[in-house]
Amino acid sequence: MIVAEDRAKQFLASYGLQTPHGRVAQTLDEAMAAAKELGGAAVVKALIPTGGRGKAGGVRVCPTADQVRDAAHSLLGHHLLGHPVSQVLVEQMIPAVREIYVGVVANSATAMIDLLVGFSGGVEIEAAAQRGDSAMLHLAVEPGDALPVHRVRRWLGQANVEVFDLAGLASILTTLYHAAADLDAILLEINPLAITQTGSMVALDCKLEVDDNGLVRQPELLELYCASLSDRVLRARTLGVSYVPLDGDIGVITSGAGLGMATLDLLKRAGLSPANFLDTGGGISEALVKGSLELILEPAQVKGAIINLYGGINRMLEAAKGIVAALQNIPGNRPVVVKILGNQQEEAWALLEPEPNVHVIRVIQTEEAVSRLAQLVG
Amino acid sequence: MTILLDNDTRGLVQGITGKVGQAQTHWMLQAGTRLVAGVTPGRRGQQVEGLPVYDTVWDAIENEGANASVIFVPAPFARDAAFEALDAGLKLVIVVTEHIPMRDTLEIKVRARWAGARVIGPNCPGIFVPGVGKLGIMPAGIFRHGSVGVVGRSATLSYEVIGNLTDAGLGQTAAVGIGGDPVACTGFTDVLRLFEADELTRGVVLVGEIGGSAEEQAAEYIATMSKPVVALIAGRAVPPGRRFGHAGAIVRAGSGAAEQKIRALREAGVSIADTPAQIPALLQERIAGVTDPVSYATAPPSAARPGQG
Repeated sequence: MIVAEDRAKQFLASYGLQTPHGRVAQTLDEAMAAAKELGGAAVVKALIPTGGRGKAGGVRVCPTADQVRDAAHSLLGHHLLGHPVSQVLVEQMIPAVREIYVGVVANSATAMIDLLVGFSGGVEIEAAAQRGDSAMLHLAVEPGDALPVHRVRRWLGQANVEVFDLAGLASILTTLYHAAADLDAILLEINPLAITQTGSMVALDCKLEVDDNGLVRQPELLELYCASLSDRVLRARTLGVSYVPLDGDIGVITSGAGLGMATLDLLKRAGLSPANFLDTGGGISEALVKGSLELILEPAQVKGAIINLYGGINRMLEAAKGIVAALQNIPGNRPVVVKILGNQQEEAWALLEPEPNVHVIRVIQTEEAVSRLAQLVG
Repeated sequence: MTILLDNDTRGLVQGITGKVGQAQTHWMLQAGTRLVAGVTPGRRGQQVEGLPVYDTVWDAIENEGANASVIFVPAPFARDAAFEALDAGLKLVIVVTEHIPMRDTLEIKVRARWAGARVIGPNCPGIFVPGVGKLGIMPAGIFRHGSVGVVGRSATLSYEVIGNLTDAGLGQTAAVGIGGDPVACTGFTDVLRLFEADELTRGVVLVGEIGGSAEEQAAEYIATMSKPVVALIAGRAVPPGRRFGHAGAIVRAGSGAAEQKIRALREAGVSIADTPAQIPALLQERIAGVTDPVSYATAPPSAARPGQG
């Protein structure tokens, strides 16, 4: 989950870091009112969950109230980097004498927590990171380490770079490390961290990505997350399955993500295009399969479906009953190709084969199921 | 010789009294696995499938000589269960549980490193060794004893691959599921090393998928292997930036894409299958030493590298 900038900054503030005064606005009037509170001049930022926003024109520095209005007008209700802008953040302008990058990343490749500092902060650092040539200081910390601040001070001290305020920067980095652990963050970065004329360090932007599996112990974020999901994705979550909407016209259910991706690859090879992708996960029951099939057949453009299940120890007769029950309630005669293997597979096939729109594949090769579906919808 | 499980393995099931633990214990026993005990805190004295249940891993070791554990404990408690197994001194721990927070997995991995133990998973189907048994959830019906090693991130796609191998008469020495999460406590390379050293294994199938860099890391080791490797990478048709069921399967800007993985593997001498059904024939050819991997790419036969295949 990517946490919106305003919320991420509230977290930073709760850890004692400095952030600009600001307010979220959904309308021009709200944006103007916020700017007035700040004394007229403000920075207006599109609240969208993605990086690269500054370069795309989503961050506007507005020295006057009129400019605030213009900026809010050109952002609100429009799309930026593929995301609709329904809110802007109107913030105090903080003049910086220097901008740096600080971040904490849970590095899945090395299984370490990376502390990063870049002394050329700002928009360029994202491009540099993607090119892999960013000249960043990098400290790898073992996950679960209590990381005392003195170690970070020593590291910064040995780095042979000119650090403006070693103790202050070490304290910010250490705080970020602990905040990231508390929040189940995969990524917590401040870019830029502004150093002002008076020497204070202010987080002008904050990016926070939280591990979806960690949301169970972040109740407040879990609520925000669920509120951000589309109706079908939320219903899938309630059902205990994962649902990804796509652009094509074939509904897809699989037990397991890898088998699902392989199924999508085979569909593409056969010239078919998936409308969605639903992964049942491990626990297959009649209700779960019924709900899943109803969900994937719901979009009107879906002209056929494939169900690819490995039951393992789950009783596949239950899955078959779920398929029959779902199709009873759904009008039309869209073909559903079913490949189910596992415990009670014969009973499942026997129940499904008389169904007029169901086509049972009895072999392990998904290729067979996909080519049958291609014949049926082609 | 077998890898990971052998006739000396005395398995312990953590979370044995739960619905999943109980059912999977039944099927592990059915597959011939030697299990000696279960652990569920507070359930000492109960029996599940004829196995004694203990409060702690220490008790199960002391009383039953358990020397490996498979964990079915729900995600919020899984880190503690894995810590307990490691702290009690077990050197092989399989974590089947899915949806474990990444932080917890990272901490399990660190502790395993300290303990010099092998943790497989999380979010994985475990290990199956035909003729010996299984610690985990892989269905026994798809296996047959033979000389192919299988290692995969996805459970059900690995089953499909194993089924294809068995249908083609290619049995297996072992199958290991390393799990679909962004962080796997045992990586592809760790398992490939075991297959490379195993005298019964003649070739290996690697079942990879988009996201992360596990396949690229594996490629570096495969380049040094003497045994042929065939790989399938799932997710070529998947749009970037979306998460597909597996938390690990997400293509981020500049990394995790299928093409990158395929390129790295090909350069390491791996034959790439485009579909699961192509795997048996590719592997048979490679094991027979008939075909050099380079001819599977676009290079003409003259570009074949000596000393491979």
